[in-house]
Amino acid sequence: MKPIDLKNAFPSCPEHFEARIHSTIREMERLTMMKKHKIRLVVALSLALVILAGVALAASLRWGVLDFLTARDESGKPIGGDYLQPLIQPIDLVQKTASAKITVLDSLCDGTNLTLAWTCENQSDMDLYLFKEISIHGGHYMMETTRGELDGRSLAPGGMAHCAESWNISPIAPDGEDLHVTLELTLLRSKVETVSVDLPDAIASTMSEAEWAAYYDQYSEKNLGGKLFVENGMAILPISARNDERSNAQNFMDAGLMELADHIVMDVPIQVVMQEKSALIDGQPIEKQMDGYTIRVTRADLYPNATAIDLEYVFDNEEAMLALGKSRGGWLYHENGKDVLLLFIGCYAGTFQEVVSALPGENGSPASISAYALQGFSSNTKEIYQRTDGKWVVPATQRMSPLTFAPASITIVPSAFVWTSDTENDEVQYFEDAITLTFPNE
Amino acid sequence: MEKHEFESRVVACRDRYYRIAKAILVHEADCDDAMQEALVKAWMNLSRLRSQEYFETWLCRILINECKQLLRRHGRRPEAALSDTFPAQSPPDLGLWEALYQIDLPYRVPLLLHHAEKYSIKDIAGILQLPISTVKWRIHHGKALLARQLEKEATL
Repeated sequence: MKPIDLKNAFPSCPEHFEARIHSTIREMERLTMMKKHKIRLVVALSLALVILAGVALAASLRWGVLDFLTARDESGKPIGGDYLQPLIQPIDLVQKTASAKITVLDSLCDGTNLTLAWTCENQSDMDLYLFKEISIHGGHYMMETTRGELDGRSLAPGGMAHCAESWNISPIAPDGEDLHVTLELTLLRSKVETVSVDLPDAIASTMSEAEWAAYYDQYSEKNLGGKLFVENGMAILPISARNDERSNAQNFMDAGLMELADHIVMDVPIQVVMQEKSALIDGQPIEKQMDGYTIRVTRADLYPNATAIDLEYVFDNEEAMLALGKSRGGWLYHENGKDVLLLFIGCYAGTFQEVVSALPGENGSPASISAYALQGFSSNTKEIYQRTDGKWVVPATQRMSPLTFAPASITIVPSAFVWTSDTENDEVQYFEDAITLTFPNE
Repeated sequence: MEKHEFESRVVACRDRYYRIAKAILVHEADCDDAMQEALVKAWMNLSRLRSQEYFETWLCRILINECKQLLRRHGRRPEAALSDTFPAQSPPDLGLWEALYQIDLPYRVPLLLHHAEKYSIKDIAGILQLPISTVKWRIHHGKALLARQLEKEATL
């Protein structure tokens, strides 16, 4: 086939599509304001983000937080994470009900990141559907999660769900803090006929147009007619039954599709193990003169399972700060044919974001920069301000977790999102400068 | 991520999101609805995004899921004339659109993601939750189907 630009099959984004984007985002603000309860929850979450959640259903796997945290190579062998093993606290807390057996296996909490692993075994003779809500309590610290990926996961009789979840908990829980996780599981069973389907593999390529249309039509809400639709092992809540004010379990019951089989609440004590070290000597900030600005690192802590870095970009004056953005092409975005500078309301995460690479440490396994980046991180920035000496400061923070190897050093490479008219995308542009933070060997 | 950045990053990729929604749903109003639902879900679940670097790809995945949800709800609507599905502005190559639309969805979407949106095979596998080998096959087969369709149109 001759080279064909598939973009030519489409016009540019029509006005109504873009208008819907803007109106939706405006509407989201209004909805958020209306839901005061939700606002409280969001504030709590911003202090303690749920950054990872998952479930595996392979009963043959040994399961625990280390299995959840670490990646695996092609042979299935865990990559890294060995040094975390001594820090993992076995729990082995078991609760049995008429229909299920819940076992909380182990936890890992280094004061900034908490991971918990548990299993749920269906001991009834019916399919069960799993829903969970979790809250974390301890001292000055309290967090509630929203509903997780588990919601609606089906569990056949005799089946076992292997579950784990990891939270970035801030502010830091002190060593020895009395930290508890409340694990609340709701198990439902279907009251109606269940229709199971695996998509998208169920869409055979040989289907005719008519077969294809009929295929989709049978799963439309209209034609399900009060049946429970289970797609790839997950119960699907009909659009008409969705109510964000209630739990998903309650929504399924209110819709008349499911009924309660069991409700289990477990209080799980968590032991905090702190082993942090800092790249700052005697707490003194590290400064490095870059091309047009200075980077000032005010915090560089390495925990077994996380890093915490606070830094500032310091400019001699406002013009220098703005000039850097212009000369690098960063901090700008394109709107209605014009370049717009983001700095007018502050520096947002992602518009002046650091890409942090890590070198393998003595205790860690070799890991590439890309593998490290895939570990995930969250980033927040505070508002830009002018110091009393007239210099302008752009603060930034980096919190990365969960780590599964101990880096000997971390290199921060400043970058910016840059609009490129060629691809009509924003791309990351890396600056030439870098600063390396080295952690002490202990 | 603040709302302003959320909005600017979505708008920066609006053409991409439109093409993806259009390729699956065809009808303009459906595309708008799917985008709206995807944005709401993305906003409410931002804390689950492990790395903001992948925001655009993540939103793409949510959008595709929403498009599939809409297909399930609406079924597949009959199209009298594909050219009528562009009420505002026709594409540069209407024949290419008509040929692309004749390809079954399981092949059309990976083909679009790879050849128009320049996603890697690995990224597409992540977005569509498919094995890499399946994605490779679908792109390969999708290209063949598109070539056959274009040849057919050329002979008409």
